[in-house]
Amino acid sequence: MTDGSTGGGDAHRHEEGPGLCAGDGAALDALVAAGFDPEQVAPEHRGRAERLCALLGTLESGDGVGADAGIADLIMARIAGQDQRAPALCPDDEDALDALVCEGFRTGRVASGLRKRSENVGALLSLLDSPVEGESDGAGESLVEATLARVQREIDAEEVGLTIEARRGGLRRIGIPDLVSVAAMLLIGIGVLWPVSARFASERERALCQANFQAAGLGFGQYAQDYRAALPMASASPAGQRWWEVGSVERSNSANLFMLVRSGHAELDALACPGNPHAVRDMVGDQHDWATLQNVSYSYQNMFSRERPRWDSVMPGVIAVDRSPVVLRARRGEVIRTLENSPNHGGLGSGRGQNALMSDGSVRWLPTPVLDSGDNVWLPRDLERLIEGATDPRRAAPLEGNESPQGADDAFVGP
Amino acid sequence: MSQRSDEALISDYRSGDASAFRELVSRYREDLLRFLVRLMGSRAAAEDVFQETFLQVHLSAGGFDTARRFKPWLFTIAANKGRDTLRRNTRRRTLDLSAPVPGPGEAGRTFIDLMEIDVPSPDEALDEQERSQLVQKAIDQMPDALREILLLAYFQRMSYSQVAEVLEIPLGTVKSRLHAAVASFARSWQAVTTESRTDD
Repeated sequence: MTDGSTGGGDAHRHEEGPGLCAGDGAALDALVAAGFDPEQVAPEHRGRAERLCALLGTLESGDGVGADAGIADLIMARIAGQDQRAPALCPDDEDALDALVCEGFRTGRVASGLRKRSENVGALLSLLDSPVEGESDGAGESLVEATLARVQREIDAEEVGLTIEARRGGLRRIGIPDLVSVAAMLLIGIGVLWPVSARFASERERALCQANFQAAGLGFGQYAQDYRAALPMASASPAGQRWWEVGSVERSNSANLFMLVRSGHAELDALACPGNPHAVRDMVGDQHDWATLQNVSYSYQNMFSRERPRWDSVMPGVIAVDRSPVVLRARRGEVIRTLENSPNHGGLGSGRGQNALMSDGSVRWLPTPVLDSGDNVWLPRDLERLIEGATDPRRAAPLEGNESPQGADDAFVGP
Repeated sequence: MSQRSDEALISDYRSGDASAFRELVSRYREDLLRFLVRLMGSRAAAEDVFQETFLQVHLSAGGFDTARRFKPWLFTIAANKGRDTLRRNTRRRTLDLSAPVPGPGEAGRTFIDLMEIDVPSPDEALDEQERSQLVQKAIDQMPDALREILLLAYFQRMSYSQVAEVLEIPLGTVKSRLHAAVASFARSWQAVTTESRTDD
């Protein structure tokens, strides 16, 4: 059998079975159109059409092909069947080939009885060793380089893929750029959120503090009812001690305020400002005073004077204010700042203002320690005047802890 | 200094020795390329498959069992790549019905006696380029399956059992196919040489 075509290469390759050549295809079409009567086919196709009829006639003898199959399939199956008639080696050559394969295609090792034929088989196969196109023109080296380049491209692509994959996943090394990015995002977030957050926290503390003063104001009102409009007082005199000596037995002015708790007119918690990190909220035993100056959240009107304010005063005066920065600094021996705000709302040196409980039970927010009347709540009136006349008010006449208000209308709180 | 074996080279490559891979490519550039040109029928297609083959070697190097031989593995990869390419580029064979049609009673099968085939001896003077072209032409006329098994077996000098192992087909099938392949090649060679003489 021969396929009759003369071209080389892929034109001869087939995986799906053979097809008809163009001439036979046209003849088949003409034959089908003519009702399988070759006499009715045009002269240019008639010769091929007659051969097609002869071929189809062989199918009628029956060779396993179904009679109802399409004509094209019948023809293809018949033609494909011709491959079954592919040539075979004669038995002697098969034996020679087997012997040659067994000896690794070395004819010299083949048994003498088969050697002649095996040499012939070997000669045929050695044709395959003929140099191929371009083999001797030095193109092999460029093929090596091209192959290595192709593999390298694959390696590069793998690395890029791994990098992308790693960036998609969570398990990877964190580099400096990543840290910078995260830090930048955090800074932006902090920059935006911190002021808002801090402002909300400050507002919350201020509101809680105000609620404390309101609760304390109720207690003061109850106390005043119980004691004929008097304000709480543990001792009428410091007895030679400084009124900022917190924790001493009923000799500090804070002990006077503490009387509101001891008498049961207020909870200790109501006198603990959320802005004071050292505030205490629970009583410890038979307590008469806060233990230290830092524990005191609110500065009470100094009660160590001849004329003390009353709860039912016609002109509402200051009863208590957020803790005094002046007392804190003076107690530490630091330079006082007369216009400094309470550290309860913003910290020492940066306070934004202070709440103040008035003798009518109201609570005011004082942005400065100076009242509308010009009275500075941190200082007694005489000291205020002394400071006003001083060359350097910041360094003039610091508190010593033995000062007292200049009258019932002189607001002066401490500790 | 003794030459490193193929298996040692692939092992070294897996360990990061890039020069080992270059050595392998260089070592097989002639044998493998010749095999592929014969299989594919064109130099360009063969070079493309050659590169694909070593790309696959690179990709599969980690899974190669160095206790086994490298060459059969390489040629099997090449054969698979070549087969895939041929399948993608497949063209249906055309057949001229002017060829003789056997009658209903003919057995059809023909036997080739290689003693009757004009096989040039190695010493015979023949234009190398012409011979190469005739060989390629003869191979191209062979069915794909027969061409592949013939080239695999011959270029690697493989035994039947080795071919059976590589192609994962029964030993008996390998044997019968190789018989048929040699017969097919012999007949094709006879046809192309006859045709060549006629043209001359």
